[in-house]
Amino acid sequence: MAKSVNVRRKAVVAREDLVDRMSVIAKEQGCSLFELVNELFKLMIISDKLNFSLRHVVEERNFLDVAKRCGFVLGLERLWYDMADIAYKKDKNGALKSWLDSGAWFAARYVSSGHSLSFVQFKDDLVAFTWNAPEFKFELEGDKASVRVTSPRFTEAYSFLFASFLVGALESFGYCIVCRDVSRGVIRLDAVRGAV
Amino acid sequence: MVQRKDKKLVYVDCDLLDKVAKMARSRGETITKFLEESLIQATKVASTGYDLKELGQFFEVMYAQKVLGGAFVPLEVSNFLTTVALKNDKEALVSVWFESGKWYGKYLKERFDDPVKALEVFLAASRWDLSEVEAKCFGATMRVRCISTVLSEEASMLLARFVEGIMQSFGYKMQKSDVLKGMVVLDFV
Repeated sequence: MAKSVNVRRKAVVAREDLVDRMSVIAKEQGCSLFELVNELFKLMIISDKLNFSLRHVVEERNFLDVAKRCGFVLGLERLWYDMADIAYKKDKNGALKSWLDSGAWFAARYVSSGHSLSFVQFKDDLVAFTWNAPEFKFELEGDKASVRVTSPRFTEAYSFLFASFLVGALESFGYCIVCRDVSRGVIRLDAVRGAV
Repeated sequence: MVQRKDKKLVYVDCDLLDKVAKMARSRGETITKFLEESLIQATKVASTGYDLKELGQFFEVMYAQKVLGGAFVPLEVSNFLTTVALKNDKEALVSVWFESGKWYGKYLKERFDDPVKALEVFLAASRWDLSEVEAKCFGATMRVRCISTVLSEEASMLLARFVEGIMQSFGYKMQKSDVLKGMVVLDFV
């Protein structure tokens, strides 16, 4: 943390228990309480400038960690679209299989957890990771699941490849696709669990 | 229940306090209440193991990613796309990465007081296939170094072009480049 010499200081009153806890944290992080509270204030100013709460900042950081654990990388979507277009044009089957396998692997992580809410967690994470799609609806009703993804920015190739990813993921959960409607920027999948 | 008497004084940088007091007023809260809520959040942050400074930098970069159109893709897919695209249209792909870098660099330059630091945070935050990321000054030379145990040779080359594009937007010119499988070391002046 930045050295705190020649800085004008002011005192503010705060709850003793919170100040004590912050003192412990400062010690753990090898800095002074003054430096730690200043960092906190800087963070508050940054989040406020962007119209977000501190809580949201922490959630975003957690979200990045989850994405990392799930094997995703973050990049500029334009780059992904361009590369997807080239790969789809040159090796359509290979590209579709690559996305299908990745979807299956992604879902398998949740399936293997054996948790009763694994599908809900999978669904929530998937929707969160697909922030580049303005509309992502994932509905469950009994043994049926339906996915609707709409993005005007998706290229045709990316739409088909991402649909393949979704199919792989749904199949890992034991769903069988009964209706697939994919076109540029629009993906509609209906699936039934256990259907042949 | 905490009693009124259970209070302590905390010293803060005067300029920062003025800014935060302004924020509190705009929300119709007292600085004491605002500070308390922030301290509660800060202790939660600390319990997750995150560093407050790092958290702020990460958040700004994530925000920039959203503004510029960031997207998550499975690493395996990314590697596949890179390999196929490079095999079939290397020149076009390299150019796309370089131009994307230039474009991203322009935004970082406008948005951040220290764009090189922002680049370092951006790479560390978004490219977790990189195990080490460093942007460091050696006299008049700025060295950007990325190390990865999983990055393919092709992906390393594209990353190098992307970084070169970004640094060009910052006004740097590449002096030397060492790009190997899983290692990108670029020197700029």
